[in-house]
Amino acid sequence: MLIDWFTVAAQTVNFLLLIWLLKRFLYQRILDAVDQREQHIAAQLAAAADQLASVTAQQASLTAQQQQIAHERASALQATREAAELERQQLLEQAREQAEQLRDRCQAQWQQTLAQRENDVQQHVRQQVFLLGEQLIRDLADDHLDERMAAQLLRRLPELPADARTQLAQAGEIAVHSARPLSAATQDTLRNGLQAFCPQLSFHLEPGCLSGLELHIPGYKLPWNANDYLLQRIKPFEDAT
Amino acid sequence: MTLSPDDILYWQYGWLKLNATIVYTWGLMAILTLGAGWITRNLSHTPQRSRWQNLLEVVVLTLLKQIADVGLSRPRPYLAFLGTLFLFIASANLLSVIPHFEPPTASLSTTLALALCVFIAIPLYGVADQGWKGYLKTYLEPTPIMLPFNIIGELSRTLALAVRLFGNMMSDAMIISILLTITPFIFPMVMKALGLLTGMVQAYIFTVLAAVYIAAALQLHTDDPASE
Repeated sequence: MLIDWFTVAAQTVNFLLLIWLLKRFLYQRILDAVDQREQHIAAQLAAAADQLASVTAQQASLTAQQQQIAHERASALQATREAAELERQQLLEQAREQAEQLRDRCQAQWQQTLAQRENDVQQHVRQQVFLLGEQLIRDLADDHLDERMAAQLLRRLPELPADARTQLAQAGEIAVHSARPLSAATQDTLRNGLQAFCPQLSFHLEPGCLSGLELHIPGYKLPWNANDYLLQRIKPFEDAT
Repeated sequence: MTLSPDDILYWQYGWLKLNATIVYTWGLMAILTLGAGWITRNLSHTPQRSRWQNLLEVVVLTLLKQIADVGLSRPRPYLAFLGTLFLFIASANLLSVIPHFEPPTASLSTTLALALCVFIAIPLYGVADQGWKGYLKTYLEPTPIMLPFNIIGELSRTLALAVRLFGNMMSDAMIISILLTITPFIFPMVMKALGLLTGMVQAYIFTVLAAVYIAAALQLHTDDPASE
């Protein structure tokens, strides 16, 4: 007989015992280990998810801060740019005004220098002309010149003011000063011309009296010389400048 | 030549006997229990773990997945019974490569014992899930006329389980023994390798059929509109 009921019963017991043994030493332990590892992994995943959420929140916060900083930076940059533009305009205007003032001052100074230079040149020219005329008169002085000067002097007498002619008439003697000795003819001319005022004349040498004659009476002097003549001619030009 | 290891007697006193089936089953139980205890004595709960722990986790998780695939969506309550079925049959068949080892599954007594366990486990799980009334009601489905046929179906599939496993294992051992006497070199080795494959297939088939029977018993209750 193939079926041994005692063996069937024994094998049934053996199998049930094996179920209990494997459940005790195999399945329960393995499943516990798997469960704990899954819990550990789940905890790690949860922690990773929390960290990810935290990092995402931080990233969003940092992004917002970055945008805020960028906005503030742009605003500050725009304000700085506008202030710099305003400052530049002000400095440019100030520099332009200073440049204009400097230009006006330089122009005025230059014009003043130019005028001074022109004045100096004119004065120098006048001096040179004057010296040249003086030297010319000195070189050409002779008896005829004395006579001409005497005639010029006498011609001025009617032009004298009334008080001057009165003093001239009341003078006892008229002193005639000249740079060089006068000729007899010249002296006669003078006597004839002054006869109406004062008949008494005296003639004196005066080296400083350049190419001319001077009539001296107490309290008054009537000169005519080349120097005064030239000065009278130059005076209108000097007054004009 | 013996057809069953039940015939190899080591000790007998009256109706008490100690045959090869019982002895090799004890050896198998010792190997499985001690091996499991030795590997699981210091399990790692972190991702770093030993190769043996990896192997056992793969075996246990694969069993869970197979049970779930059959239709038992919560497979853990059935793991101990169905997993032990598979491990016992598979290890018995695998150890048949060892010379002079008599696989207990080649004994009709063993396969009948396993089939009886399945036969008893099905109503136990059904009662645990649905209660006595609910489970017994399934025998009256779809009509009370089907009661004798349902009972016959329960008995016949238990008998089929036992005979199928016994027939395959016994025939495998018999064929190898016959071939060993005729051609002692090449064919026995080939048949031994083939026997390993058929042994694993039989273990898988026995376990999956037991799971299907249990799932079918639970499914009847779940699909019943009145129970909803």
